[in-house]
Amino acid sequence: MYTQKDIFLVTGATSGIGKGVVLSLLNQGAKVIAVGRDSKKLASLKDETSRKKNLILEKKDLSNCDGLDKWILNISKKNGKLKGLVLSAGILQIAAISSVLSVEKSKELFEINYFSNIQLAKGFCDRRTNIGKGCSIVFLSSIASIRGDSGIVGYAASKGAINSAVKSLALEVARLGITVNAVLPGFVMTELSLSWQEVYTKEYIEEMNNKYPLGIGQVEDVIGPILFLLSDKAKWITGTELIVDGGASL
Amino acid sequence: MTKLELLEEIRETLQRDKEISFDMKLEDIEEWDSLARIAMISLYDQLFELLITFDELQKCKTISDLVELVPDQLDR
Repeated sequence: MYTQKDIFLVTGATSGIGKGVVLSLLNQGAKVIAVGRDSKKLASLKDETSRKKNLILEKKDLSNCDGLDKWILNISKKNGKLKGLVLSAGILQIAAISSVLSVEKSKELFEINYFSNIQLAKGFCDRRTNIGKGCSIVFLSSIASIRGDSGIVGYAASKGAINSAVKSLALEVARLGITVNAVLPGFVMTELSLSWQEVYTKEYIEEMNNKYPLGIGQVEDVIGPILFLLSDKAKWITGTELIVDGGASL
Repeated sequence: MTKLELLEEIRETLQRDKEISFDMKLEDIEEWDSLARIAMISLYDQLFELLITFDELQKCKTISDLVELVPDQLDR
């Protein structure tokens, strides 16, 4: 479906949805630049694909947005112009609004979930970074942005900011032939959610499962829609929020 | 800032790898579109705290005209 000339950059590439997207794009023949902050986890990606030649690893901490636009421009100068960008790096903080430093800590959350992703999108939209017509950006948002829940005020707001930015950015770069969309997954079992096991107890997961008409999702349930938005089949879709949540938000 | 340094800033704002020169006509530069004009307004605001208008930009025909918008702020 793709060739080595189709180059995609994926952040948050070492786990969960990002990792799934990397491996699927490689399977489809594309060249993938996988970005993560943990060099060991990045290196282990090579063990999970037979198309090692098409996988480029880039270690980068995205917790500071400064200069990320120039960074992605330089990556494309080194590896070739990019066809797609998947922004799946993000962090989750669960804290009641009354918790100590709940507001201050959400600045760190916004830096990664919003500012760094927007800075990368800015760099991608530079004419020198992308191939032009047929390019796409997919942001990983969340249904938390459209459906309230306790303890995730900052997280939900950071994803809501992405949804709003997507619409204006889509309009701004349509002329360049770039589509911009957000995918809003519901609760899926990823390493990120597993790392919050004190919150996501077995009982909580069961309760969640009952709230999801199609059951709680798996990582692969979200990958397909992302691949679709990256593909030419979605070339007339831009500025959308694609909800992928097993009907939970209905 | 010198004229040459401003020329480099303009090239970067145009997101252009190829060189530009003072005598180049803006209409011949493919990157010179409405978004580039907005980016140019931001550039002058950031560099010189100078708010140039769309009309002023429309009157510019060459790169040199862009540079001449700020003659007093540039080093000789």
